Amino acid sequence: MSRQAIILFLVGLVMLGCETEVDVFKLGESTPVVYCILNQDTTVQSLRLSRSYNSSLAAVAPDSPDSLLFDRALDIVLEKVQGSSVVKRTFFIPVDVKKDEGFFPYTEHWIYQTDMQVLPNTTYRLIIYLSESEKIVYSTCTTVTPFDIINPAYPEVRLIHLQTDHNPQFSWTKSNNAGIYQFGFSLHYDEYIEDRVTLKTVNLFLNTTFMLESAGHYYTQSINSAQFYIRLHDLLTADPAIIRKCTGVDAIVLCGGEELAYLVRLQQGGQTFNIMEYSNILNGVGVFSSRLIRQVNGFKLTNQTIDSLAYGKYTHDLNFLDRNGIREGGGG
Amino acid sequence: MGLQSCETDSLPTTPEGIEAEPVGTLRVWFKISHPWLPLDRIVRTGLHVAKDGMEIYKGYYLQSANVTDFQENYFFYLAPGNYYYEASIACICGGDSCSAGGFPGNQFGSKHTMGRFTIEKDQVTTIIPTFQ
Repeated sequence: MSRQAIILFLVGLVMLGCETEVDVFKLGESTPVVYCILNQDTTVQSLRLSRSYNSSLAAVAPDSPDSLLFDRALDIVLEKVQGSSVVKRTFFIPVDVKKDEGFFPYTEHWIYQTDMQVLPNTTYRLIIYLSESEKIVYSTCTTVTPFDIINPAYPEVRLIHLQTDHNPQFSWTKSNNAGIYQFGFSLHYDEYIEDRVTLKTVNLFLNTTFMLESAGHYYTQSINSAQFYIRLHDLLTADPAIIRKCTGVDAIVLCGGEELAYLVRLQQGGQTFNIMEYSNILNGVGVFSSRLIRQVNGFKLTNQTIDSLAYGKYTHDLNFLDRNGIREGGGG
Repeated sequence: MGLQSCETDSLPTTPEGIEAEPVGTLRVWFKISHPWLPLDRIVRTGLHVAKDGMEIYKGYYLQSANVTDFQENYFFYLAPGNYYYEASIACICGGDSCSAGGFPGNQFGSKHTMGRFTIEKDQVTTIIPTFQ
C-alpha cells in the first residue's frame, strides 16, 4: 500500500470516529417536586406533587401549562417501617382542591391524600413510582415525639395580657426529632352582621424558632404583643358593617420535623425564587417531614387587651367591642 | 455656588431638648408560700399595677404581668409617684384541700392582696405580696 493510501485511510477513520448526532432541541427532563408533611394530629395525610423543568437543559418551553402536574393515576405509597420491614402500607389517591385566587400556570389542581394514623417517633417511607420515566422518587423521615405546653397554663384562672409592657412567654417541653417550632394564639370571636352572629376563629402564629440542639428540659420564648395586633389587622377584613366580639384565645405551639426546619431556615436566608436549596427527596426535590400541634384552650384576655383590640392603632377599624361590650362612638 | 445652594441645614446630632421620661423600677418578688399545701399546687394568677385603689377595684390597670410558674420576680418601669398593686394566687389541688388550706371554694379558689407603693426616679422599689 502506498504511503498516500495509508494516510487517506487513517483520515477516513478519524472522520468516521468523530461523527455524532447532535439534538439541537433536546427536551429537558422534569424534576418531581414533592411536599408531604405528615400530620400527627389527624389520620388524613396530604401530599403535593408537581414537577419542575431545568431551563438550562431544555431549549423548548413546556408545550402545555398542565404539564407541571403529573398523571393523576400514580402509585404513591406511604409505608410505616419497623426495623427493616414494612408493617403498614397505604396508597395516596388524588383529590381535587379549590385553588386560591391569583395567577397559576395550570387550570386544574389536585393533591394526593391517604388515611393513616401517624405515630410519634416512628419511621415512615414515601415512594412515588413515575411510570412515564420509570423513576422512583423516595424519602424517609422519623416523626416528632409528643411535647407539652407548660406556659401559658391554667386558663381557668389566668388571663393573657397582650401589651408591650409585659409580653407573653411560651414554654414547652422538647420534642425529639423536631427542629422548628411556631407559636401564637387562636383568637375566637363572634362576628355580627346585622342580626346574624357567626362564631369565628383566626390563627395567629407570631414567632418561629429553630431548635435543633437539646437545650434542657424545656424551651422558653416570648412573643411581641404588637405583632398580635398587626397580624390580626392583616388577616381580618375591616368592614363598617361587621362588629366583632372577642370570646377568648387558645395558646398554640406547632412543631415540625428537622427536615422542615432545614428547609425553612434555608428559605429564610436564600433568594426569593430559589426554594430548593434543601431537599430530602431522592430523585426529586421537596421535603418529607412531620408536624404536631399542641394547644391550651380557653384563655380570656385582660381588659386592657380587649380595649386595645377595640381602639388600638392597628385594629381599631376591625370593630371589636371593648371591655364593656360597646364601641365608643357607635356600635355594640 | 450651586453646591452651596443645595446644602440643607444639617440635622441636629445631639438630642438637645429631648429628655427621657424619668422612671423608677418596681420589683415584685412574687413568692409562693403556704404552711402545709404543696407549693406546686398553688399558682400565680395575676399581678397588676394601677394609679389608685379605685382603679384597681374597677380593673383599670396601668400595667399587668403575664405571670407564670417559672418566674418569681416581675419588673415594672413606672414614672415616679404613688401606685397600687394587686396580686392573686389560686389553689389547684383536688378534693377539699383548697378550702381546708384557706382558699375560698375548692379547686381554683383564689386569694387576692393589694397594697400601695412609691416609685422614685432611678430607684428600685421591692414589694413582696403576702396573702392571708
